Amino acid sequence: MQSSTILLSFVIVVVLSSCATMGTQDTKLVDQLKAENRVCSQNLNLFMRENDVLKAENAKYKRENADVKSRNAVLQSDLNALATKYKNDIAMLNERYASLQQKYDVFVKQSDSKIQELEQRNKELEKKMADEIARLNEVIRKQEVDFIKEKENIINQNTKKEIEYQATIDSLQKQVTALTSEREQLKSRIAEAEVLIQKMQKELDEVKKAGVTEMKKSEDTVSETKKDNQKQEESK
Amino acid sequence: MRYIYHIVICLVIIATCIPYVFADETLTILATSNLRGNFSLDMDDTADPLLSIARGIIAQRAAQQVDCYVDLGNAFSPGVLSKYSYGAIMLDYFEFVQCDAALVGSRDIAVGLKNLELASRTRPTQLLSINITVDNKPIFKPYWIYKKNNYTIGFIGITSSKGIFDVAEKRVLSVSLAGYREYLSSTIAALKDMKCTYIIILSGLSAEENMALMKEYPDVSVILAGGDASGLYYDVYAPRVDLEDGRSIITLSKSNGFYSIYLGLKQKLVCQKVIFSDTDKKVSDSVYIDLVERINLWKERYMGVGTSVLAQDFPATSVSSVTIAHLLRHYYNTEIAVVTVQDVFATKIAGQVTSIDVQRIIQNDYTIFTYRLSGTQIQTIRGATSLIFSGLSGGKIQGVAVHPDRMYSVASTQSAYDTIAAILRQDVKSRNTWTPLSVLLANDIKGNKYIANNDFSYLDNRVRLIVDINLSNMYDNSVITTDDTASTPPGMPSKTYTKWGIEDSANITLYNQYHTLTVTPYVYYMRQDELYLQNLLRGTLFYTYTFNPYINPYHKSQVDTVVVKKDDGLRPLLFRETIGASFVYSYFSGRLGVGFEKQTQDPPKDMLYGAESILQMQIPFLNYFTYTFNLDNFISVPEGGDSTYQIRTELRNTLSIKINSWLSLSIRHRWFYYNPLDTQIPYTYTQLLISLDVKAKFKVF
Repeated sequence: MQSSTILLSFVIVVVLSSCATMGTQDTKLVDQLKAENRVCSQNLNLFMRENDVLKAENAKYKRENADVKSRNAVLQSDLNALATKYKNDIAMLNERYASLQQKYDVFVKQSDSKIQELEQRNKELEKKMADEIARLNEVIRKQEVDFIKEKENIINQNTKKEIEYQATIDSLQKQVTALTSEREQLKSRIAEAEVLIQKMQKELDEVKKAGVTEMKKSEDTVSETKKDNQKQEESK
Repeated sequence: MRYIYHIVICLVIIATCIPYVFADETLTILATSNLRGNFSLDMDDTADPLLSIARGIIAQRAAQQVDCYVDLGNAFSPGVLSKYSYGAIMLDYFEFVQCDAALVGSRDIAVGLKNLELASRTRPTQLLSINITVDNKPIFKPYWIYKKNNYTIGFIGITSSKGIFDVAEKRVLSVSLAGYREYLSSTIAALKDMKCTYIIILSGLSAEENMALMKEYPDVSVILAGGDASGLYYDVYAPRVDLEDGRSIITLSKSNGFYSIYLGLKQKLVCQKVIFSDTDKKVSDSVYIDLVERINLWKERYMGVGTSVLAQDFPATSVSSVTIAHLLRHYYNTEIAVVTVQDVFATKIAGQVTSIDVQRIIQNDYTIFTYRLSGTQIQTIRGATSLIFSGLSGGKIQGVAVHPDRMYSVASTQSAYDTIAAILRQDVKSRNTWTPLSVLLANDIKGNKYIANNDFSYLDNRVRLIVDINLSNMYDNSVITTDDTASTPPGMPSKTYTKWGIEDSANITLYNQYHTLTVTPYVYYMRQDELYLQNLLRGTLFYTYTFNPYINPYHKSQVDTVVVKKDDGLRPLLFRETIGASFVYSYFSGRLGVGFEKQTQDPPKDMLYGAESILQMQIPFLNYFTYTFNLDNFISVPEGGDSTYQIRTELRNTLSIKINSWLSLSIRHRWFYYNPLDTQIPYTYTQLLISLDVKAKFKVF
């Protein structure tokens, strides 16, 4: 009884451990699957997110491309319009050019004749001018000769007059010198007279007291003396 | 004379041209390191640090001749944008700035090796690693060759061994990080066969490993170290080390700019100068404009997802490695939780919380593992500085000292699990929850918001149930075959007998950090034929309130009876109720209490009041031996009190020899003394027993 109990408990333990082992194998498989799931989901996320960015970039480039294309179309139409306009302008300008060319040809012809005429007139005028110049040069030359002669005459005359005037100046100079010396002499005399006058003044004063007539006589004498001197100075 | 004049002129011209014709050529390399995928989420490119570096590189290429541009690792992680794109945004970045080759660093592994390999297939930048293998073959290119005029330069990439692989990739791809020596010799030989003039190593190894590599492989011309390389030689930072033979080890670790390296192509590759540039430049190159547009597309996509609101009006919370560990413990109901320092970037969150905040917090977004570790293993890993624990404090888990033989439930991040397995040097059986840490945190922020708790002490209040079973059985069946008249040899039994016995107990303990309730059924039954040698059936209910590490109050209820009724048909029933104080210190534990004891039947006796003293000492030694001493003493006096007293004392000395975790051999000596109150005639019983014990410890929850 006891041994069977022990044996039974041992068998139960063995069975339970084997069940635990089976669970372990399932767990390993689950873990493997979950590991693969994690790696694959990360890879998937990477692809999706990269794809999303590239899609956005691609969409942006497509939009830019569309913009560029539409802009290109607009520019192309502008280009075509400009080309048409250019053609029309060119045609119009060509017409104008042709008409101008015709006018120019006519003008050239007219100009040629006018030019010839003007050239002819120019020649005549030049000839006339040359003759006139020659004549005037001759006149000038003659006048120059006359002027030179006259000039020489005037110079000669002036020289003679100069000599004459110089002689006159010399004589007058001499007179001046003489008069100057006379003046000096008179000055000295005046000075002496003044001294005398003073002396006489004194005497006069002394005499005054004596009489008025002596003084008047003296004064008359002095005034006469002064008048003489003045006359002499005026005569110089 | 004229001829002599012409000859002299020619000689002068030749002499001036000779230096230019035979001048030494220079290899100009641009290099970046530790870019970390650190794009800002701002659409303004002037505010983005990586675009600032791109501008510098483009300007440098425009200003002077640049031969090639390499990256030295850790470019793909942990930037949130790079993680979102699984590295594709960085590969786009490298494509636009014309990076020729990039070393796969240890942090780059976090974005997924298969992702990197797939993303790089359609892009021109070569990802290099000689030692990341799948099925023992390198998954990335081991080398890249650059040709300049008549020179051929081979670049080899070596990844640091610090990398941690996603367990999913380990299972699916059989990926491993081999030592570089296994493949380096053959790779160098292959490059020599391809007529490589110079060999440059892009290295993520440490300074010591780089020095050893230079010593062991003289064919290596220059090592450019970045990414994981710190450039520390005996704790001193040396960005450039020139060896005696002219070769150089150049460490380029700055991440906020790029390096320009000028190598002279002489008989040996000579490092002329290394210039670091972090100046922001203005660039209007069409390539740069396209780069900005591509990066902005990634940013827009990420903002569409990353700005999804997880919570509004979230309370201000500091999220750190410790709080994340608490969160793991909460959700997986484990006793301890472990994260590494690098798993979490400590951040404060408040108000509106988005997915971007979660991505910024979680650096290593691997799945969470649950497993069990023994007390011994926990003691071993406790000192690791790179591990952050929740639930383990002062050598105790939930207020109970860590028992070496007991198993404890653990929840951890994959990086913590790998670190623990590396420290223990064994494969720890685990269960992968397949829930990434970011998902756990995001769901919590969205829903229960447990991360916002200020106090996680409630985790230690969770109730645990452990069952310790001790079975000690013996069986002896002796059969004697003889004649009745024959004499019995000395020492032999005279007649056939069957003797068997069991001493079994089970400790069923419910506990948390404050309360411990233990129910212990115990049977000691030994029988020889019809004779009962031992016949004790005991049930104990023990409760203690733990509020002190050493002394705590307890209450014990004990009932003793017999397994089989005695010959006289009596089944005595003895109750003992005690309360007192229990203490624990080192190898010692004991209880001192008072109570009463009463035999209620067969025959009923008077109530006895007494004092109980229990002492246990358990000392393990020499790895496999354990000495246990048990003393259980109850002294009681009758009600009313007189000078008579009753003593019941049991002393046990046990020496156990551990065979394995559940089987041990015990030599047990028991001494029992009983001095009954009524007769006062002492009863003494001694027993020496050798038994094979089966011990099983179960952690139910």
